[in-house]
Amino acid sequence: MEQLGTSVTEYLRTDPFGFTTAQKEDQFLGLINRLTTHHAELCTDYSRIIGPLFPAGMEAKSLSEVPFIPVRLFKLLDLASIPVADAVRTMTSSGTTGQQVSRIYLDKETSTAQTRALTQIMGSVLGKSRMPMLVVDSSAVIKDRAMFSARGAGIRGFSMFGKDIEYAFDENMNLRTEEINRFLEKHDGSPVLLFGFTFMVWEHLCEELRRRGQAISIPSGILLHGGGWKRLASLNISNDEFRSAVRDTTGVQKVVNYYGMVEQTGSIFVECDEGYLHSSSYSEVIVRDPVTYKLVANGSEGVIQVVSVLPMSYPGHSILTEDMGIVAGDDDCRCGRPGRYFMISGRIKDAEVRGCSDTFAA
Amino acid sequence: MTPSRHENELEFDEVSGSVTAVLESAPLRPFAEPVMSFLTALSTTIMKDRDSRRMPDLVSFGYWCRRANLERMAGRYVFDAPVVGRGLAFHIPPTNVPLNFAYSLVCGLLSGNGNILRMSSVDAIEVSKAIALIDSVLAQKEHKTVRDMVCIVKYGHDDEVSSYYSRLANVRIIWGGDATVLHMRSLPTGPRTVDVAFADRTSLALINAAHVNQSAEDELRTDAERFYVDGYTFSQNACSSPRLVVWSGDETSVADAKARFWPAVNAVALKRGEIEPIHSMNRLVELCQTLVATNAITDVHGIQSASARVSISDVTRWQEIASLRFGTFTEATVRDPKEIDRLLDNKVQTLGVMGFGSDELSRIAESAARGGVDRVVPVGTALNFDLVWDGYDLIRTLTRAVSVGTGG
Repeated sequence: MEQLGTSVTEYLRTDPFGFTTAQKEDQFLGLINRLTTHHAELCTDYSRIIGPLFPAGMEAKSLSEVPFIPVRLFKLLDLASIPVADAVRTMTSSGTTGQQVSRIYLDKETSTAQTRALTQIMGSVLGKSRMPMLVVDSSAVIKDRAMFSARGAGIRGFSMFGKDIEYAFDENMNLRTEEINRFLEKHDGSPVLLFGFTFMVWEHLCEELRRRGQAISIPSGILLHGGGWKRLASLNISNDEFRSAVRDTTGVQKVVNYYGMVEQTGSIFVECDEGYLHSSSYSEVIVRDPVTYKLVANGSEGVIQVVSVLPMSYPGHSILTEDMGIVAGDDDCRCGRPGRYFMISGRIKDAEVRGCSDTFAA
Repeated sequence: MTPSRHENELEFDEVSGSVTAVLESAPLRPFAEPVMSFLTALSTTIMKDRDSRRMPDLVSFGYWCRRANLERMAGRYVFDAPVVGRGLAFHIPPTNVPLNFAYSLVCGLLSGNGNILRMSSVDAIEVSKAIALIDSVLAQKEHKTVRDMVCIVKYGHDDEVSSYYSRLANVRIIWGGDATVLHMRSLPTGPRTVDVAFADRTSLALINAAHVNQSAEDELRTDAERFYVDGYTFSQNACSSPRLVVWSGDETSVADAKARFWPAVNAVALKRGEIEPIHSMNRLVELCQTLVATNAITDVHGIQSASARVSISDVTRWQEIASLRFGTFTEATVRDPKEIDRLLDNKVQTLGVMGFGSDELSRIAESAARGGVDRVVPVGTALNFDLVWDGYDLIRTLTRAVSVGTGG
């Protein structure tokens, strides 16, 4: 375990966007195979799953042969490769009331690795110096320490990259116009980092400003947003519409989406100026046919698998998500970054399960 | 839909028909002409309807109650004494096979009963369409007799309403598996109320490996299509859906047959394009959960295809993992098809068979019947509804036989 931890730490020194897809696979596959072995040894449930499903899984000869488990399992089972009681932190996905949430058990080592990876990736996007930060959310979200939800964890994690942090909403998610203006006056003209969840930015900032017939002006701002398109997709709002709404209401010119999940905190995928999400050196996306799970060619839509070097305390290093996406290409994005670039197109649709049983369950 | 009706303080919606009318209707003989002509008209209406063409389940139902099929089914019954419907049939259909209620209703009508059907929801598009078409035919004046024999009510999980109808009913037709059956049994009924109860069942298929190995390409494709219909309809979630595939033959022959058969099934499944990403995801998730919950599974093949095949250490334990769905099949091998009986018990409903000659088939059927199986049918017809279902002859069970003494 210590050796594995050291190797992961060592690997995280590499340039986050320094590898071509093939170079990364070379560098990365050995570590991923070690993670598979590690989890199979320490997590009985994981071993019982991958044993029959992927008999040759621990010696994968390519990333696509690495065993994967469905992300929903983290909601249904307590999957950990450490004694659950030893977890320094348990992260949960931010499900609405009544929904099952993922439970992710972190030890010190994994938690540190997550922070390091995130710092490396964000450093390459935002630069080394910390910017004044406006969190497009309510401070109430992080005050509730009992529930270390994905929303709170995200704000806390990204707060490392800001200074002089201000929150845009009060505890009832009302826009704090006065505080925002005071914050902007104080940092007049200097670059400002805005961070928030996509839907919160849309609903409580852009739409709210429109409803009020107001606008704010932060032309030197950078908006970093993530957390999924599920709710915006249900409102039929595209990335382009979102970007222009942000520009129109806040003046922010640089809008950067990221794709990440509580099951692989840290190794996030960040959007480039061309509008594509990029794999960093620390993780990779693989797109599979959504019915047969065979690999699909670049350019074809499929279900997204994410592979990351970070998860050591829980078997989440190779996960089949319920998101759909398309690999746009490898190494030739016009933004200049080597490696894989892709788009998320939505989520797999839920469907009614039919059958003979459960008259009274319905 | 009529507004909520309050009868003895009970709350329910009459979706179609009137409870009072049904309670006042007189029972008929089985296959009575008013019922036959109503169902014939219903069949025609469904087959001609523009919307129903996009609903394959509804079309199958419409085709099933066509005149020729009704006559064929009636021809199987010879009654040597007067036989009439028991009176009032109270149906509790399952919600997640949408059109099951319609088949249940037809059984009630063909056996000459008045019918009250309890729906917990009429939201499924096939259900609301079927009810609309049933209503439209019932509204025709020549179907007045049958109109008074049908009432569809909608209410939630209200035991008071269920108890009220249970006491009135001469027969209850309870679908929905063990939990629903036991729950309904806990409610008071009339002293002479008879229950037709459909408990949780599971099913399997028996395939002759030699047949698969000898078949020509087009025959293989047809067989794969038949298997697909049984194995994938309702996401493999019906009682009649095969969960276990038993191969009959020696080791080499079975290995060859699997290598031919499964790619053919996958090709059909992918060509049909009916398997949604969520089905594959559910298949994988349920498989992972089962792998954690039991140590029975030794191997899994085909998770990167449309069908997962599972081997277990002790194949007599196949029912322990029979809840796996969405195209997951446990596999077993027998040298002689008669050996199938060790895999059977009275939880097994349907045995689908493929590739056997008629002599062999009758030996298999006899062995299967002794083992507890209620249906032995060709693969491809496992989900086809019949008046003999789950071991009940529904016409005989839903009717009263009257003995008439000669006075001699």
